Amino acid sequence: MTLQISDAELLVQFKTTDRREESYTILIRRYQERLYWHIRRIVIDHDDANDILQNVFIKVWKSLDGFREDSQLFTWLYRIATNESITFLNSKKKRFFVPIEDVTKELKNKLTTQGNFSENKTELKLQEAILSLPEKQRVVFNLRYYDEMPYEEMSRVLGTSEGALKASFHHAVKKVEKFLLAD
Amino acid sequence: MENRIDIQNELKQLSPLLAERRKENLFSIPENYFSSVEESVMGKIYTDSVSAELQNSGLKGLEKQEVLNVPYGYFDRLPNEILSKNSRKPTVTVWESVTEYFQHSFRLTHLFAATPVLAVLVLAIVVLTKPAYVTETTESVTQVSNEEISNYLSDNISSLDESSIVAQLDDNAIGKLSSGIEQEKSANDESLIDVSGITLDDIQNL
Repeated sequence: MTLQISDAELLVQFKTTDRREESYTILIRRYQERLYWHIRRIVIDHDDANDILQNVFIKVWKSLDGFREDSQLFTWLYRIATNESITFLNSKKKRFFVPIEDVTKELKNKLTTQGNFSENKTELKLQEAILSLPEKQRVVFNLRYYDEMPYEEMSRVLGTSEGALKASFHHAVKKVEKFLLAD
Repeated sequence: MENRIDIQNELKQLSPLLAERRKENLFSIPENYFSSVEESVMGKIYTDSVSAELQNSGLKGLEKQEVLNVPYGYFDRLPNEILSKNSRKPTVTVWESVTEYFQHSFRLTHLFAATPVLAVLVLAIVVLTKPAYVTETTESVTQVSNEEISNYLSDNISSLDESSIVAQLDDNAIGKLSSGIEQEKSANDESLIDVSGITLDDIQNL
C-alpha cells in the first residue's frame, strides 16, 4: 500500500479489510502536518498542539466507521481539529476563570518561547496581530491566509455561510494590516 | 471552486502589504516530531482498545468478586482466638528479661572495647570533682557565724575526749590555755577568801 492511494480508497480499505491499522497509519502520515500547523496556529504551544493532534486522530479512529462520504475526509478532519482546538482554549478559560484578554496575552507571551520570532520582528508582529483577532476570525484568517482554503470548503469546516466567512476574512485582513502599520 | 490564484488575487486587492509578504513559519518543533506522531497515536489507540476489551469482557466482573471463602463465623471468632493465645503466653519477669538481654547482647569483646573509655571517664570524674569539693568546703566555712560555731561545739563537745583535744592544740595554744586556767584559779581563790569569814552559826541561821 502506498501513499498514492486516494482518500476514498483508503476509507474503503479501512472499513472492509483487516488492514485497518495500516490504512490508518497512511491517513495519519497524509494529514498530520497540515492538521498540526492548523492546531498550532490556534493554541501556539507545541505540547498543547501535540496533545490536541493525538486526540483528533484517536477520535477519528473511533468514528471513521461511521464517516459519511458526502463530505471530504480532509474537510472532516479539519472540522474536528478546529473544534478540539477551540474547545481546548475555552476549557482553559473556564478552568482558570481567566478572561479572553488574559488568554490572548498568554498566547502572545508564548510566541517568544515557541519559535525563532526574536530573530524576525516583523513576523513576530504579524503573529501578534493575528492573535489580537477574535477567536473565530483568527481561525478564518489562518485557514484563508496560510492554508489558502476556498470559502466553500471553509464553510464545511466551520459550518458558516460563505458570505459570512468572506466578510469575516475582509475584516480580519484590515485589522491585521492596521496593526502592522501602527507605530 | 476557487483556486490558489483566486485566493492570492483577493488578498492583493484587500491588502497589498500582506500579499507581498513572504509567508514564513518560525514556530519551532522537536526534531523528527512528525515521524513519531503515528507511533504515539497508534500506541494510544491500542491501549484504549485493550482497556475497552477488558471492560467488555468477563474479567471486569471478576475484579470485584470474592472468590476465596472463609469458614462461617471466622471473623466473629477471630478476636477471641487472638486474645486466648495471648493469655496462654508464659509471663516473664523484668529480671529475666534483663538477664536474657545481656546474655544475647553483652559479650566479652564489648567489655574490652569499653575499657579505655571507662578509664578516661573515671579519671575525668576524679580530676573534675576534687577542686570543686575543696572550694565548696572553704566557702561554706567562711559563711558560718561564730554563734553557730559555738552552738555546734556546745552540742557536740561531749563527743570529744581530752586526748583528741590535746592533739588538736599546738604548744602556743596550750600555753594560752594554761595561763587562762591560772587566772580563773586565782579568781576562785578570792571568792573562797570571802566565804572563809562565814561561821557555822551564820550558816545555821540562814
